[in-house]
Amino acid sequence: MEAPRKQKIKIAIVERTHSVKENARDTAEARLTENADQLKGFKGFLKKLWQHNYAYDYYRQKEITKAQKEIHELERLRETVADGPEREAVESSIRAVVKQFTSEYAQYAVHKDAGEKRAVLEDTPAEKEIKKKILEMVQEYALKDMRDPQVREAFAIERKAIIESVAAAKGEVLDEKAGERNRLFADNLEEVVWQVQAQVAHGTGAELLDLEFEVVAGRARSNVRTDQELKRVDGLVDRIQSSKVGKFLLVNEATVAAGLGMAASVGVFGAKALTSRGAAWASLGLTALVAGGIAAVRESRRMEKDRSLHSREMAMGKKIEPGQKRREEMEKTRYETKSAGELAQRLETSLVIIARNQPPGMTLEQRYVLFKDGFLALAEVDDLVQKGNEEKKDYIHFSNPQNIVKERCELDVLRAQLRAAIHGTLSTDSELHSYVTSSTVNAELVAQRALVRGERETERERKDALFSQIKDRKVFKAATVGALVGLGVGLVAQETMAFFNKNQMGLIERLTQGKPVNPPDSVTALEWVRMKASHLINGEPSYMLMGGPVMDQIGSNHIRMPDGFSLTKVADTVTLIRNGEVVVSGLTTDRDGNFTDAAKDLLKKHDIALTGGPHTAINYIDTTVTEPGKRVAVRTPMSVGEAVQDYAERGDTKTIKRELWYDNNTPKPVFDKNELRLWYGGPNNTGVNAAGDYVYTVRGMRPDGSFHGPHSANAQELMRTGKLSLLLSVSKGTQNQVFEVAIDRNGQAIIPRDSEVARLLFETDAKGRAVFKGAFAEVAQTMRVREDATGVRILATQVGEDRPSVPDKVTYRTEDAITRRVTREETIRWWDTTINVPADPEVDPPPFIPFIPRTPLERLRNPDPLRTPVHGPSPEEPGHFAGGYGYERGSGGMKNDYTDLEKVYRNTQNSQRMKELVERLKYEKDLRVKYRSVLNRLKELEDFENLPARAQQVFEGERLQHNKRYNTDYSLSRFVDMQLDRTYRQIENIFIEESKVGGKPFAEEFYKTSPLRKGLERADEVILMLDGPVGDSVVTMPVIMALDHYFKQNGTTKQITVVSQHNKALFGALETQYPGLRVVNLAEVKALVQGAPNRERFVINADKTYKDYAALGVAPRRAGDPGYVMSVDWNSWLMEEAPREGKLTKRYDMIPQRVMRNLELMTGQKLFEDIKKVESFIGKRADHTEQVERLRTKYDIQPNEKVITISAGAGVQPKEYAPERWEELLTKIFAEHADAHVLFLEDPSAERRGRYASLMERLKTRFGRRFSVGKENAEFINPILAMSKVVVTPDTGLGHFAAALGTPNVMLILGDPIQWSEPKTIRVTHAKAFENYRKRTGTYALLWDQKWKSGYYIEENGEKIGASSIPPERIYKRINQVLSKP
Amino acid sequence: METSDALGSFIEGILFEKGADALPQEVQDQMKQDLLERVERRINIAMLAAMPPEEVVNFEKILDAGSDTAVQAFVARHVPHADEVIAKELVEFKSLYLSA
Repeated sequence: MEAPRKQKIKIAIVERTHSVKENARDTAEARLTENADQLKGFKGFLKKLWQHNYAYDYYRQKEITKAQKEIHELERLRETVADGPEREAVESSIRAVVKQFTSEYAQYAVHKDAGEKRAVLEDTPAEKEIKKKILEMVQEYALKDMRDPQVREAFAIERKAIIESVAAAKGEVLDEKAGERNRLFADNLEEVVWQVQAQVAHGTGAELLDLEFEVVAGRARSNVRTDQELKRVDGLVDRIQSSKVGKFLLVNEATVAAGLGMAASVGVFGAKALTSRGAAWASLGLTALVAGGIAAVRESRRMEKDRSLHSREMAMGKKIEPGQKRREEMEKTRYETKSAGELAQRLETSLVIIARNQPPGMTLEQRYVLFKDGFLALAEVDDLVQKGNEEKKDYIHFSNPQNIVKERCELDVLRAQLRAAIHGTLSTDSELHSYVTSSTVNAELVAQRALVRGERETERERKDALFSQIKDRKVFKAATVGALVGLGVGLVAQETMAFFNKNQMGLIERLTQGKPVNPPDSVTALEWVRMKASHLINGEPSYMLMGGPVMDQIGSNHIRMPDGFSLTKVADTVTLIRNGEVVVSGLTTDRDGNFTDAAKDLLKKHDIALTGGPHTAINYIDTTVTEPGKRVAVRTPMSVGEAVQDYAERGDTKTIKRELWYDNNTPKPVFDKNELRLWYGGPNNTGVNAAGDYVYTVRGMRPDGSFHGPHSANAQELMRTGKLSLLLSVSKGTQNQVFEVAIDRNGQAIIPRDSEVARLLFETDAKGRAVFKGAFAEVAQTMRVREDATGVRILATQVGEDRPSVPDKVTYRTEDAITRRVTREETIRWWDTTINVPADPEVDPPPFIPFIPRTPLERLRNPDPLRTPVHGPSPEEPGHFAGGYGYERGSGGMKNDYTDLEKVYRNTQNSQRMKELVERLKYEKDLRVKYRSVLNRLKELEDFENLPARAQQVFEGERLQHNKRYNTDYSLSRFVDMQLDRTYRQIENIFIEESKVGGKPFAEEFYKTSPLRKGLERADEVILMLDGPVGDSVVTMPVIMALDHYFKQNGTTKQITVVSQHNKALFGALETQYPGLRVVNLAEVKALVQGAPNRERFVINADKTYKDYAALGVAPRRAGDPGYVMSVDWNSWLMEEAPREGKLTKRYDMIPQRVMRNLELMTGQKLFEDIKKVESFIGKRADHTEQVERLRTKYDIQPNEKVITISAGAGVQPKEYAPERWEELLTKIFAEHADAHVLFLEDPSAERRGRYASLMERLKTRFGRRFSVGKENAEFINPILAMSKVVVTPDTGLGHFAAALGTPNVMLILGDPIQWSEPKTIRVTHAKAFENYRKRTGTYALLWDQKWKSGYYIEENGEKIGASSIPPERIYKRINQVLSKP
Repeated sequence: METSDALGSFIEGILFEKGADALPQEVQDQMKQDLLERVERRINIAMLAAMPPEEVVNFEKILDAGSDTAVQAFVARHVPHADEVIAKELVEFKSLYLSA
């Protein structure tokens, strides 16, 4: 007998360095995407400028390094940690690779055309040695504790050594060269050790001796296929830089030189070399062009890269969020991809069809149709896989990055299976084989396949063309923006620099500091524009050259001109020339050389202005003048005689001869009469009058007082006739020479004080009296004038003191003549004219500063497993969820007496009764036809063991698909059992669906034995114990509705008592809705029970914690009896499926719908016409209308206003929407809906009221009357929510309550969005909601974690999660939909 | 080919404009070496980017097997306007470096 062959254990050592590098790049590039709201403001602009443009490569490399580091750290964790979630994160992808390379379909699963390689270690001596080492290692460690850190450390070293030896032996199928660092491998060496350990543990130990391995080496390409331009470039450049010949350029010296030359021509070698302004302008233009060109090239490359990145990310299953414009644009150019899940499903379907035994009697054509579907499905998938590999494009997308290898591998397995099935069919069906291979049919198949390919090719071309258009547009825009922005920034920089450059005038400088005295040498570009505009508007130049160094003269006109100008006189006119070119000619001048008015007008036309005007000046002329010598007096003392002689000679004195003295005949010394009447005159006869003159008077002389002898003189008469005079003798010796003073008619003789006589002969004494210093003062009558003397007669004599003041003798001499120089002034008249010409400062080119921002692609949402492929709760497992609310049944005060609804109350657990139902389905003709597919499937499932292998293979395919979808690992037999149960449940549903309302479609036995029916019939009262949380209570409301229907349909009336421990007031309206029903609290129900202890009761306990059934009127011994107690919570109700014709099914998945259908199935009675049409479960209060009136008045709600009620609080804070988010949302609502009135319900919790207080104050201030804060007791919540047009809440009780009332409830949800819904719930889902749906967790357990209770966000894997992550726009969109409805 | 002399002059020019000529010679040499590597890398990236995508696969083969001359000949054949590509890279490189 042949010994059984030992099963070879497959070991895979697969290099995935390349894939990990790609992962790092994908991660890095995904991290460098950003949504528009993160790029707002100046900070956003800088990010676009720097991080997303200039320094993009730097940041990308940095992120790549970071991502690689993270990956390597995870890898190290794998070595040190035996299990746990961190390890699992790495392990799942490694397992997938190992599975891919060790699969029996590896030849299909390993994609050589994508660069993957695979080889098996042969029996060469070297490779045998490696296998031996592996055997020894497995044998050794299978007996050790692999959780021991020291063991793990030792194992890691040996594992590494084995990998290195495999890598050395099979280097041709790996990525890197031996000795490279940071190589990463996927291997299952540790898993094999664990596997062998398990065998040993259950065996004898001999298993260790029977080990035999097949060792596979290879390299994986685990990522999506689209080639990233930069990724390839990265790789090549790395190789070039690290090549064996060292770094080198890809171009030769000549090419480099040419490039350098070209760069130099556009100024790359710097402004230092630019000497002329023209060159600078040329450089600016070229630089702008080049910068624009650079921006264009950069944009072109980035566009290509963005397209690749987008394709890769989408192929990984990421999703575009609404409003991500760049993504939406890019998406239009992405090649169409097919979902790996959908393709797998299609292959599976084809596999089912082809592999299954075809019903007898099928025609060749019918068989061909089935064959063709499978063939073309396989051909298409093959094409998508192969073309994608070859072209490095993605034509298939996956559910998420972690599942790529797994999904691809499953697809490959299905391809292989379908291929085998097709070959098998053709080998057994010769007729079909001949038909298919006939030229006509073959041509048809080929043509159809070509058609699909052609369509794909056309689609590619169309999208490439579209991409080219978009790229051209963007590139043009980038080039333009690049040039304009560069110029703009340059202009600003130039203006700034002008402030510091005294020779350059900028626009801002000019506007702020005014016009300078001297024109600048140059101006900025903007100032140049202002100059030109100003000239155009005002007609005047901005800057003038006021004259200059050049001088000329025409006539008396001196003319000053700027450098370069000159005047030329031609005939009678003047021409103004500048640098040899005529500026103005025909200028006329007047005779002085001044420009005439005509000339001035002519000049003005050329913006030339004249200044200046006439001038006068003094000319100084020097001459010589000779002046005669001065006459100088020479004084010498004189005697009295000499003096008198001198007087006489000058004629001052008179020579007299005294002929007679009228002595009145009395000789001297007698003197009398008039002889005594010569007196001093003046006041008091002082001899000095008021003027200081000396005065004598003879007025006292009498007419007869002078006589001598015969002679007499009438003194008075002589006075009147002027014949009397006063004779003054200087001395006795000279008494013949006298000074004569006339005596006037009044008898006065006045000697002026300044006269020579006064100085000589008088003085004034101390008393002011005159003193005569001469010899004699005589009054004389002139008688005869003779030649030698005048004869006189004396009337009176005064004898003086005879001490005259004789003056010095004065003689004169003339000095010599003087000659000197004299300057003479002469006034001259002339003109000056300044010719002011417009200054034309040079305009400096602005620097070109290429500041070009770039907006990156938006960040995609992580894969949404709900959509591709559709997951959700498995129909095979319609019941309890894994978690929820963070509680576990039976722990921490939770009850543990749950009733197994399916087992206790349903047909499905009773094989006999199910058999009867199935038989009825078979024998009722209409049902049999309608539900043939259900019956066929049931038959296959019930007889699975005897099915042909190919038919079993179909279920195997389904199993694989199921495990993939729901992340389970069911065996085939388990899977078949589950399918059988599912089908039984479907059959139960069929009978309920097909029944009329009130109908009882199950077997009679069911109704006789149903504990629920019996319990309800027995009881006088049904007590429904509601759960504590409002939401949990609300979803239980359909129980009341179902009971009500049940009793009515069965013609009976029972007391229904609803117990709410904490929310009695909230549910008060149930008493109106169901007359006779009462709503009580726990104390009240206990009192009721005590008041009627013998009353028969049936308790439906929906409270998760309540266990005291005695208090509810059920004896403790009956507490476990399903005929007395149904113990449930929200998580007890099963999802139901009602098959319809064909393969469609109707699902009841929302908890309220589950409740209704479950109660129908458990009572065996169709209670509802159509569950899907039941939209509300709680009625309004009896006084609803009055309450609404009151509330509208209280909150000043106008008749036309639509009420939007908001209840912001939730049991856990991360469910809530942060205040600032509410404000954004309400701002939008008020802006868009003038008839909106928001009623923001005040929370009963003081903590929450505190958190929302400032928000409510702000909103009240901003929106006034239209924003109200609702403060009502619980009993009035019902009318508030019922009167609202829409109620907006987080995932919380009042939201469910509103929806149960029939009011649309826009709910922000992180939990399972389907299960936790009412028909009127409008869900705004967080990405987590889909995850919870997929994982069948019902709720998001971390919400209840104490760690996060004080914030709006939970941090999970570095991501902030909370209802507040939902953008207000998404919520508004839903609200708007409701408000827009009439 | 080792580093182009022309490129060396180009880098020296940039360093001069940056004012690095005041630094110790040793530091200058290090900076020059660093910039040379960077500019070479940029040029190489630009060359690869300018290469028709379908030729990149062939280029990899040449890179694996061919000599430096063969590599350069291949690039010269498939990047006809290499001088323009280099010029653009140099302009951008200098602009970035001097503005940093």
